[in-house]
Amino acid sequence: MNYTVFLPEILVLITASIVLFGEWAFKSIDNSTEKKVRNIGFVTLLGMFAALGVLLSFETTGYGLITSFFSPETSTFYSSFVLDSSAIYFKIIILISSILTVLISFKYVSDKIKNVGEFYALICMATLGGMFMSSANEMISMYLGIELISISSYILCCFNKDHNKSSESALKYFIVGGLSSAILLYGFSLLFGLTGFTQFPQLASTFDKFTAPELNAIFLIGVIMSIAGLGYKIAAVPFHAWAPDVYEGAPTPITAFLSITSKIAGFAAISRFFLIFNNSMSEKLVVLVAVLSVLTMCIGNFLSLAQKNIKRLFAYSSIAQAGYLLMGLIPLLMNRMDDSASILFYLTAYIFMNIGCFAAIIYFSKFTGSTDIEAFAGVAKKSPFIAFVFSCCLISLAGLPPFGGFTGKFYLFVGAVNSGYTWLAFVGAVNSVISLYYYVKIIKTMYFVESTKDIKFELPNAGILTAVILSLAGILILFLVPYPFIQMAKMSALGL
Amino acid sequence: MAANTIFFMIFSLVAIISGFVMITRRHPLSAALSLVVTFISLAGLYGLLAAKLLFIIQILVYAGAIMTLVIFSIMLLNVQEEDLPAEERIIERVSITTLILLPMIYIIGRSFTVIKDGQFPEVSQDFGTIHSVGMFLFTTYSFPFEVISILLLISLLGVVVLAKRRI
Amino acid sequence: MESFGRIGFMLFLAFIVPTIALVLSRFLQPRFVTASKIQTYECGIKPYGSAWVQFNIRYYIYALIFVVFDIETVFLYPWAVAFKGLGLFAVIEMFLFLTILLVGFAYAWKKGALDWH
Repeated sequence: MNYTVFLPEILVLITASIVLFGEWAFKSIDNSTEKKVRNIGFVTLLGMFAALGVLLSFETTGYGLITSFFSPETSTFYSSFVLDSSAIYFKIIILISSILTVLISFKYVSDKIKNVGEFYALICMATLGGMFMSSANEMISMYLGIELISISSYILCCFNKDHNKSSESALKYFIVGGLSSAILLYGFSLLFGLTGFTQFPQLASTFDKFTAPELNAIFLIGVIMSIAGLGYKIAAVPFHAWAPDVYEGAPTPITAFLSITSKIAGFAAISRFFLIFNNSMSEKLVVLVAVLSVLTMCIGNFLSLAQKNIKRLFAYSSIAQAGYLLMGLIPLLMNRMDDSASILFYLTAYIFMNIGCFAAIIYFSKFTGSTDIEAFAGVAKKSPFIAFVFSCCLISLAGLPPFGGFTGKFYLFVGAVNSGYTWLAFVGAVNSVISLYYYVKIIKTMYFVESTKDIKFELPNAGILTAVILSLAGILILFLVPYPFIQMAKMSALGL
Repeated sequence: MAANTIFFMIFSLVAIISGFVMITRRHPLSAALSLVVTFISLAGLYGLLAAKLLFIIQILVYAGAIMTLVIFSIMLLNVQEEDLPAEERIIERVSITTLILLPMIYIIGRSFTVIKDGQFPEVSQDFGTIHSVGMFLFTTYSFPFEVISILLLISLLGVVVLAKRRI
Repeated sequence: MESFGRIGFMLFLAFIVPTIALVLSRFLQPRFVTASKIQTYECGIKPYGSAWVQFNIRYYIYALIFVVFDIETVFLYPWAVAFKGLGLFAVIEMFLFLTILLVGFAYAWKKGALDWH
């Protein structure tokens, strides 16, 4: 057995363990909180970059990115853990999003959070959970990956110690999360009971052998329950109710983490889970996914229109984004791997546009002292660059050129049209127009509404500045030269 | 009727009744105590399936450790009768939930009538014994097993961070 | 199934012994009921206050940490039983498992979660 497949995960785990003791390890160097946060955060970044480097150096089918140092087997540990090209792609974007989350968190953490070491250790653990989810080839491993990322997130949500909303959000997230874990487990146990296997490849080969329609019905119930459990991770519509309260109450870097890393991990798990279905089952599921996608898009967008708090607005906006992304699962279910690469590409763009927004939210709300949209009035004059990037990211989220969000959405819609779901692409386009309204409303507040208060802004710190520049570069590059990235996504999707 | 069937009926009846008692009691402590009864009768059901390890875990961890924790937290919060909120519209809520769940229960129940003998392969003789679970756990499921330790580490971390800050 | 017969027998014993003891004492005991006799027994002193007292939160941390290590112990059990057929690989696995948990234990210790102040 080749253990190098676990090297990225092991690196992240070791980083988590080191950072956990950060409070003592970095005590002697300096006593100020800011320095401590910077040191601990730097170690976290270092570990994640090391893991990213190892991932990029894995030899995979046709990436040709870097000459390979390792050539791991694709499937190890009795095929409960696979490392195919799609798993590598998902892990790379999960790590990138965690790195960006850590970058934007420095200032916030040194201001508001007491247990710094634990905070970053838990971010590492949650990232680890996401990485396990993208590699899980078996129901128990997948469930444990989901629990890893969920439990870490529950704890992270109530780190804002003197904030009642923070505890409330953690409790709500925990209760809803526990319920959906139970539903997921029940679904998985029905599938296991019917087939006797937990491994996805074996599951795929057994389940079309049922003759009685009742057994097929049970199988469908199991699948639907599993989708419900996984749908809660990506906040798809009937399972989205937790998102606004949790996003609002959680510390802002964690809100960013939930809306990016957690969502990517959810999609990684769902796409791996969907691959087990043969044609007779996937026909039913395509309809289900299309319905979920429409519901998620429409409800997410319509409820965004009325939001006054920017974190709540981003909760609904991320629900709507999950709706667009669900569209990308339709070609996957129809076994059109070329088109299903769009989901990978859009997720990549989604990281950069969302992190730009959250960096700006953290930076602005530090000085305005509030996350209400009204409080953002006139900030463009105080900090033109950050406001500019924020606006770019918002336009990208709405899906307009010249940004990566446009390219990503374009490929998602093309995938839907190619799979025969033209009406779905049309609904998606209409929704993009609706979403433009509330995204532009934020831009209008920043640029054209006069600020009533005179607040002095400090310059952004290095972390936020780096994240903002990276996100602007990311969305621009994904628009201007999308071809290599699409090619990479297609290669990875073929490995699924 | 075979002895197995009789035991199965006894255990499941006790489990269902005590489960029902649990959700209808007003005071959390009475609810917790009837939950213990449910757990123990579930352990009996696992015993009927010859799942020995599960039987032990159910008694040791669930009926033992976790129930202690539940009662602990009830005592910690020190809930008095008058602190409990009024529960409104119970009947409506229960009936709506039942209506949603009924078709599913029906299909699952019905499917047992169509299962014929020999349709599903029989499990091996030692399925669920401690030895065979150990063999499975440390070969086929060795990866999830290691992940569990990370999960336990996180829960330990969460305990210390969250409970410690109030002291 | 057979080995559960023994557990069933134990259950039967556990049920029957206290029943006999209670029933027998019911018949044998002299009954003179006084006010102090029907009081709640509280280690011999006069009971005061409500039985509903709030527990100290420190117990709670211990209880939670106990549950974590209880679950760890449960995994040791099948490991020990199946140990013979598994060989070195299982030893390494369990070593890893315990090492990861030990990190948590060291953390809890260092953080002072096990102290009582």
